Amino acid sequence: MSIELIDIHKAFGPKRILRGVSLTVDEGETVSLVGFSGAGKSVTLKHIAGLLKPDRGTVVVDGLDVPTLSRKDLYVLRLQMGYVFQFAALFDSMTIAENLAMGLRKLEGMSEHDIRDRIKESLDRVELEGFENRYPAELSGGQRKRAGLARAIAYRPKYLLYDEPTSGLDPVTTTVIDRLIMRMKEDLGVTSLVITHDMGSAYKISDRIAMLYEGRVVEVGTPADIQASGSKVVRGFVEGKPEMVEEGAEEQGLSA
Amino acid sequence: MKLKNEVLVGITVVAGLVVMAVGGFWLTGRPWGQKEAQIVATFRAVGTLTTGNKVKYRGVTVGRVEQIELAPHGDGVFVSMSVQPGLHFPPDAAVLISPESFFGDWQAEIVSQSWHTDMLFTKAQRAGVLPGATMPDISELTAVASRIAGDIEVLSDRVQVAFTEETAVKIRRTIENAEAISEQLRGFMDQQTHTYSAVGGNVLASSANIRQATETAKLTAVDIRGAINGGDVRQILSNARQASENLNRFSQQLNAAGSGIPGLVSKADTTLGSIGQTAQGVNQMVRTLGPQLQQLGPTLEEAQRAMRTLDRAAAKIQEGNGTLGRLIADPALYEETQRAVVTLRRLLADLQENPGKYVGKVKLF
Amino acid sequence: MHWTRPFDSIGSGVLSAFGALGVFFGFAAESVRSLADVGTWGPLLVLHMRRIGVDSIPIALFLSTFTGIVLALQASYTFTGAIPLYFVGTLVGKTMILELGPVLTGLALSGRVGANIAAELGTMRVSEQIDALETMAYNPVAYLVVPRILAAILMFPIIVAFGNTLGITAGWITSINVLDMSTEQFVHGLQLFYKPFDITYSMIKATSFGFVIALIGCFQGFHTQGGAEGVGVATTRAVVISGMLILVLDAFWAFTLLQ
Repeated sequence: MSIELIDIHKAFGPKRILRGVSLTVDEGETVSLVGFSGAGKSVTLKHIAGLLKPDRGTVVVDGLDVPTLSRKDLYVLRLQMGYVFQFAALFDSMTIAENLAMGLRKLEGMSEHDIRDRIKESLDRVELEGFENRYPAELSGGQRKRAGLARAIAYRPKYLLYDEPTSGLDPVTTTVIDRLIMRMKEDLGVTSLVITHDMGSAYKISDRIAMLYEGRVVEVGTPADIQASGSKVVRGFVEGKPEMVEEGAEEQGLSA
Repeated sequence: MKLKNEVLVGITVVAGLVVMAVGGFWLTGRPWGQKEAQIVATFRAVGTLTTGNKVKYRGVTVGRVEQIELAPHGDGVFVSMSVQPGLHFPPDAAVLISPESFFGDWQAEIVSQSWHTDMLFTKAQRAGVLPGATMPDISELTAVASRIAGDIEVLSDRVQVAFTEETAVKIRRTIENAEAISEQLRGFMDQQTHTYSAVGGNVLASSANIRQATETAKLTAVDIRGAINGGDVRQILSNARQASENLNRFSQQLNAAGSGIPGLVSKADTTLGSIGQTAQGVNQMVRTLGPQLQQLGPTLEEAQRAMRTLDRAAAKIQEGNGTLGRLIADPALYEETQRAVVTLRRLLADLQENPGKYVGKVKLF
Repeated sequence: MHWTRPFDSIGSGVLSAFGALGVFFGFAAESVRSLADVGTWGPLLVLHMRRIGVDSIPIALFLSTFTGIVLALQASYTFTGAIPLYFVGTLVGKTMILELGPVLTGLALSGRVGANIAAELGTMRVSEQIDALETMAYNPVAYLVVPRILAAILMFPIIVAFGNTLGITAGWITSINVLDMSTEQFVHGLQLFYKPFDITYSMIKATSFGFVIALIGCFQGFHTQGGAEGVGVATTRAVVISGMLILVLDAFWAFTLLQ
């Protein structure tokens, strides 16, 4: 029950975004995928959810080959996955409760009563009690991200994909979200892949961290491994030193 | 009260469908909820009648044309009409199809055959089917009429140049026939005017002008008569020319009068007027010449043939109690007349080219 | 410059044009396929019939009222002295039902409905709401596109029927109050050349315009790129393209159905 990315290539027109991404997220593990903006982190995540099809390579989730699944099977698989979008992507024409209910209605055998209970439970988990009848526009950025998380966990997926859950938030809210991510793992035992460029968050929440650079995963390791990495690209990124990254890229022959 | 979406959409859709159905039905002009009577009539042809055209009785709209279908063997057309119930039609009722106005809409009129003795009605093929007749379209009539009129005018012009007694006799006959034709055309125009009276004020005003113009033409005719009594042939002929000039003016007058209504009206009236007046003038003149012509010698073969054809066509019209409409409706007759007109034209061309051939014999000039 | 350059640019131009057309027809085909997903679009149909249909009626009525008035006045201006005035009724009725009812309503609603759809779906696209639908196992075409297109197809004829009715009524009121005509004259002219097919024709046009407006709006919205600016571009395109297609379709129907 893991997520496996095997040599993913993806280009949009002439722009080659992914050039052979390989990464495995084991069951119950939380992996952070870090990298520069525009390195292809979100694109990688979309491949896992089957929103994009790779030009080459494949994605295996839950033992299923995602790019070749029929629409019906893909939709079944997607209900095993929760996707937390960068800007929450809440449906702004609906209340928070209706947003949460969307995924739940796709589950078999849920009565309206069950749905209401599950919405309340999910909102409780992200500490948004009593927000059922609010509209997304009435929420703050942090609240929206939490609501997006609640929507992703409402139908109890086995996998959670986070697209920059803490970007653009103040430090306190960031900590709140980080704690939530850790709680999801402890309480629900989900397998998670988190995209972030916030190294502080990554160290706190990750079992392992993977670094994406120029369309490839250049290093994978525990937070301690990454902190002690010998790679100038990784150290430069972690320490915020662009010159070091360039130097390292030249040495390792990674630059485009 | 805030209505649910379902209710609002439901109300809108139902109201929309009702508007469409009711509006669509109302626009057809059918009466509401009445049970209508059906009548069927048979015709040789129906012109440009279409379903939905009005059915009138004594000028009142009483129904609509429902269906037009070819008879099983294609030897006629059946037209079904729905009309108000409870109407009593005359025992010799028939249906007459004619243009309702100049704008292309036609109508079916329930008439008594005795009101239109000049129309040739079909025989009802079975009980319950009314006989029918179709008026020719005004444009067909005026086309033929103007051709004939044009030829006569040219002929009367040439009379002065080329005049043999035999030609004169033939011309006289032709003119008599033309006169008959013009008489019938005028009858037709009366009918049409009756039909078109619905068109409204513009046409009425034009009619007044037409009447005035006709008066002018009549005065010219009086002049001609005076000249004829004087016995001077040259005078007569110059009067005849004057008559056609007057006729020209007359037609211009008509054109001016008709500027308010489609050119068709004025064209038709002018043409018809011209034929009548020219024919009258020339006829008078020829009648006066008659005795002297008797003494003249051999005839011109071609002219004779042409005139005979025209004679025959005219005779047929007269025998058959027909009208020009009948002439046009009957392809054989129509063809024959057309041929005659062509021959006549050839003759005229010949006259123009070799006047000597004809003029030599004339002692009058 | 190498001699192949002009051919290269022509070739790539043609290919990209066909590519864009291919994407469009792919989208249309996907919309048709998604019709099967009744469970997804069914419950939303009434909502969109309300938003696209019922809410559009005021603007359509406003438009056709003034069109009817203008038609009556212009007809009388043209006909006076030459043609009997009852032809004002004919002209108002025929023009309203055959042409201006459906076309003006279509053009107005390409602004109201088409732009609205494109902006809404465009915003949903750039804010990843369409992706979010996907991740929750919703077919976004069935969820977003099909109910809008169906609602437009179903409601446009209704809107146009109201518009036609009100336009003719406005023409009639103008005729009897301003033009010195009687109701009988107006009605006589109105009924003179009426054929039941007129209404069918009007409804065929309305339906096709509704389809085009909703389809183009959805397509542009669905394929929005970039942020707020992208939404703006998509909205403008939706209005312009559907406006043009309405006129092209208008001519197409006139050629195919009126000959």
